Amino acid sequence: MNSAEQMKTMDIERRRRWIGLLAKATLQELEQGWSQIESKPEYTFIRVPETGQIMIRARTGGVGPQFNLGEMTMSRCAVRLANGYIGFGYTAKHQKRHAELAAVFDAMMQDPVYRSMIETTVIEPVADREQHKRSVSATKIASTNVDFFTLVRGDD
Amino acid sequence: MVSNTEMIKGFDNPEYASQQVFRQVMNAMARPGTVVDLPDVDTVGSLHTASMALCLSFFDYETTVWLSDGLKKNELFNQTLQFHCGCSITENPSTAGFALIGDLMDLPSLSVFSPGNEEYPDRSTSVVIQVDYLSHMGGVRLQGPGVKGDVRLDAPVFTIDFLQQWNENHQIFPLGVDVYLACGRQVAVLPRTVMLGDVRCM
Repeated sequence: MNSAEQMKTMDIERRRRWIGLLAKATLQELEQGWSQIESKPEYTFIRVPETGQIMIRARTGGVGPQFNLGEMTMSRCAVRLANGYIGFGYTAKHQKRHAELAAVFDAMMQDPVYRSMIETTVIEPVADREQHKRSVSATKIASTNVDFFTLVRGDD
Repeated sequence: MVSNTEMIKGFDNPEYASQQVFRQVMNAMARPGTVVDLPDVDTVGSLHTASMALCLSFFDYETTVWLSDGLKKNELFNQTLQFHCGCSITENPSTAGFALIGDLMDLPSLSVFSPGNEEYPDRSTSVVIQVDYLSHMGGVRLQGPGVKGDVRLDAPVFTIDFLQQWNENHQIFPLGVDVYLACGRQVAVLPRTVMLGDVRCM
């Protein structure tokens, strides 16, 4: 892998992380972040916010053939900022506004002018909350952890 | 990580607009020779508004589409199809559910497309042809189911050669392709049941 490709993979990884966090954020968190922006960018829709069903596909044990696991509700949206950046928003909720804001933030995260601001006002707070949620449930699980062991049998 | 800034938007109101397209095309199909208006939508390069509206309404991830040379080379159009429709592009016209002909110069013989089969005549290719004009004044005379009285349609596609191909296409009913003529926001449909003849002004 050459350095240009490495850069690209890194960028993709970073974008994957923030798109994931934008999807997990609550609408309230996104609205709050949006209200804190003083000079809001103008944007147009490439794909107007829409809610629909998507089919989740899976493989047994991660290796078998694909099968349809079931459907889930999803909202999605794609926007273009006035300066040309394109953003995509997805969320596993019946919430068009969420998808819209997630798409706008994704586009803004690609724009160096907005990136650090969006990172501190939207992305990192969500990351912290998610991290906290995870550690709380990890602690809960750890407290009920049972270690099974078998005594050596059959020896006199 | 700069995205393509040219990417075009789909319908402003996808549910409403695509149902309007279905309704209008259904009418045009039932009354061959009728020219209907499709909803307005942004379009790419040489693609007519009506063709774009047809793509956005009819194509989905299960659709295979054959593109004429000019359209195949249009990167932005291909991206748009990929993004909004998710359809697959095929090189083989005889397996395509839809064919899109951007320019009459690129129109192959109708016989290269799928006429469907005896069990499933509906699996034939729907051929969308872009034309520079569509008019009721003069042109070929339409006859067949859904045509009442003297219905005429004029478009640059009606050459002697095309009319012969159409005749062959009509003969193999219930098989055969259906043709959609797109011009600006307008569409007229030639279902396989229609007979074309009696050319007055050619």
